[in-house]
Amino acid sequence: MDRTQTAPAFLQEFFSKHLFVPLHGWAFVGALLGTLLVAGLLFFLLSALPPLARRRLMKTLAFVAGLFYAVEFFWPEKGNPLTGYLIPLGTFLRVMGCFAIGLGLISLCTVHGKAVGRRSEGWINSAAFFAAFFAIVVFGFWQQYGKQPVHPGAYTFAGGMFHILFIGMYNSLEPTMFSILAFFITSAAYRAFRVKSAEASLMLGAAFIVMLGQVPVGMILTSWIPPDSGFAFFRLEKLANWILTGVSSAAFRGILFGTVIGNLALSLRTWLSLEKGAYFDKPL
Amino acid sequence: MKHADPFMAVLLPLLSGLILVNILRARRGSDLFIRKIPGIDAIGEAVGRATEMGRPILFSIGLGGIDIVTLLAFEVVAHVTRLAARYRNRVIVPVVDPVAIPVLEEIEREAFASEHRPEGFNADDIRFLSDSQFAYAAGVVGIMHREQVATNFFFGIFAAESLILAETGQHVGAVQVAGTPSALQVPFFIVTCDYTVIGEEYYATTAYISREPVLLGSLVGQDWGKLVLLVLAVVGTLLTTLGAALPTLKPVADVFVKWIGGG
Repeated sequence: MDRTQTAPAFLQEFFSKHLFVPLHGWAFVGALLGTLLVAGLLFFLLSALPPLARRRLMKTLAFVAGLFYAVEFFWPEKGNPLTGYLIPLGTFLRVMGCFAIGLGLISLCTVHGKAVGRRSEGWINSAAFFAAFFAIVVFGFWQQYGKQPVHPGAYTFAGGMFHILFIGMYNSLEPTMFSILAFFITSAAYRAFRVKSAEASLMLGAAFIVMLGQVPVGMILTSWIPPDSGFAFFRLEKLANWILTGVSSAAFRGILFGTVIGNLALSLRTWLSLEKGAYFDKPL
Repeated sequence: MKHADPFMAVLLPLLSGLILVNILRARRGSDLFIRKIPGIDAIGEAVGRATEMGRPILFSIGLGGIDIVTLLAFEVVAHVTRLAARYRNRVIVPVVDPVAIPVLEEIEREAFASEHRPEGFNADDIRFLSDSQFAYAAGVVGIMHREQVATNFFFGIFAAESLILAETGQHVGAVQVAGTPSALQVPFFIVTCDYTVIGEEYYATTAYISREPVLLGSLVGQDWGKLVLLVLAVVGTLLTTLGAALPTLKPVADVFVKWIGGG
């Protein structure tokens, strides 16, 4: 659904025709420089403000931004004048986040650059980072802006190299790391199920029933209990289902209740600038 | 985007009101009690152990950046770094989101300065590894092995990588304290960590560390909120059970269930 359809017509036109349109050539350069200029000016003005005034401004902005989402949520869906602004506002926030991309790059290059420069232990791994980084940047740009393949589906040299590096190596490393989880689950389960206390014994018993209840051999073990008898509850698949949907779900929901209210309280404190701590106005 | 249904339109303002009332009570000086949370008490002990072993501390804030859950983790980072600075140790914080880097640098710098050890701050200890979940996990695992960390803290948003991180911590023999509001990851932390801060306890961490009246009041408000939810659950169960037995109660039970279900 196009959320901008409920925005006032003049703003809809402004968003679609002037604000969120792709720019090319000098218009793009002009817009970029203009944005940087405005951002620099805003940064200068904010820095020039006394700390107390700056804090008040931040609190006011946080309150207004939170109020927008609160009013939008509580206002009935039909005829809600704020819903139309959700997507443009989300786009704005995403653009703001993009400014931080360079920070990660600087951090990576600083840490690994120092390791290579000092030849500290394992510096060869840091050198491998730079080699991988430059290889993927060079082949990425080359395949995007260089000569394109003549036949559809074919690769140029740059395209092939990028495919090997990104799809062949990087994308394969993700599931490789994920697959390690299987071994870790085994070692964690071994530690969890060691019978060292009454609680651990209870957990081992419950886990044993749940696991047996999920597999055919477990169901066969208690298949002699007639499914329509008064003892049918003791069939392993039924016991396992009761532990999962009764005992486990109740505990899970209990945790969720507390978590959701905790999240609400934290959001409320942040919105009303009541939160205290290192990130906020007063160190703990 | 979802909009408030009739139930939410009543419940959310009610819960918010309870939290705000208790914050006001706490500000006026009411004596509020919070129970002991062993996981948070263990933070000092875990930092002390790392110092005795002469090995660094690792603090993972999980997959979050600047969001409401990770903001709380930042407060724990500040607390742990202050303790580490006091004992002349260091805290390595690997991050997924580069936006968190300047914030964490500032938090660590201030923590070292507050313990009169500004020279102990090392910007390289705040490390961006990758914005990809498992590349981040691989990076953290590498740091644990290379630095032979003595203590691991996992506070924030975690997903499938939680077990990879905590099991590796077990293998390097680190003391581990974890806290996450994610109910799905809590079991993994419970079986692999020495102390786990579960669910709502995570939101109590800053109040517990600081004893700040606003945070304590908010915590008591949360408890009142849980009481409201408990009452609703009990009333709903009773009405549904009795409604099935007594036809006169059935319309009332139906209306109640429909209201709670957002109808």
